[in-house]
Amino acid sequence: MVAAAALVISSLPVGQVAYAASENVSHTVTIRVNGKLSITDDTGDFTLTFGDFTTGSDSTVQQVQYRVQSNDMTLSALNGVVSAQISSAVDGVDLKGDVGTITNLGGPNNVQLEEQHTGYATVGTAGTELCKKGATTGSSGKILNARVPIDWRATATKDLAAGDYTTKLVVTLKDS
Amino acid sequence: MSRAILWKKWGARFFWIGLLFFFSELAPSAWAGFGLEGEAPPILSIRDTTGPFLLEFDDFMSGSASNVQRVTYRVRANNMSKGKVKGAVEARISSELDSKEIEFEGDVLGYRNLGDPDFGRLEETHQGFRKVTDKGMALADKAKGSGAQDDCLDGELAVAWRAVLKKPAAAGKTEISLLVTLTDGS
Repeated sequence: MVAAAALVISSLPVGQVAYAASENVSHTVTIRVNGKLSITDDTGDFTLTFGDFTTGSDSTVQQVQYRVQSNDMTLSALNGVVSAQISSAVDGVDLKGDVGTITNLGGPNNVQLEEQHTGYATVGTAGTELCKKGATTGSSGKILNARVPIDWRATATKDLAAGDYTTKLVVTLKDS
Repeated sequence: MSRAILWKKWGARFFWIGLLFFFSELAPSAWAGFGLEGEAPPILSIRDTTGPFLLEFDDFMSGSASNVQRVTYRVRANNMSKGKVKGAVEARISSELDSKEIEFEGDVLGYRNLGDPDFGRLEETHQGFRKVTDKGMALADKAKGSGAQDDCLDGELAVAWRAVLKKPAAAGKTEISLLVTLTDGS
């Protein structure tokens, strides 16, 4: 068999070896989608004004629209996906938040946020859970794309002297 | 005569007969190559120095585009079909990519002729980025050269590669194989 093969090769005229009609080059391409976790609003600082100073009085209401986006949410049910806290308590004033109608901008299999409490919840310095998610499945279940409106108002827990009281409100989005 | 002597006597004759047969087959072509035709063997090659590369998305929403990876391919051929060759360079990807979520695209940025001015040249088949699938997509055509060496190619083809999201994508990564092919049209 070996000798026969050698005879065939030697009988081929030089310059007439059959060449392929095409040549390739290949790459391994890695496509990476980075994780994103984002909460934004365009309201900025706001003022809540009391029309009365007596205990039980409510301030004006400020609605803030939060745009929340994530592509790496846990598939498990999760409380406190959106939470809020204030930097320091204001003596005689409770800051309260109420989640309005959430607009899910993603697909039906994406994360659907729900408000965690009905009505206003008092926000303290330890953090208050405002929105939650149920269990989801598949890669679509890791994606959140929604608009969350929250109404903010203050309630006097005692009679208030005239003046400005300032605190910092931090709203947080988490994915796991 | 012993077997050893028999082999010595007839084995040597077979050897010389075989050698003569070998050179009788080889010689005419060899002489023709040196003296008359000067024929070079066909060459068809495409190379790059980039190797594997990464396309990365910083945003995950529909319409987001990854970074762009530029790759320069060195192409050489001396046996191209004369005149125009459609799809002389084409690209295809492995079927592992979820094409409903991520689209892989290529765009020819340009061709630089490194050979004689009358060599054939490559030109992009489509303007702008075009989707590359596992069925293949024509990237560049061979345009007709200006002279007798139209069947030769020697140049650099620059291609930009990117990925585009067709729907929101979860964080993660996927690997595909990209194959770029140069065909001589024969």
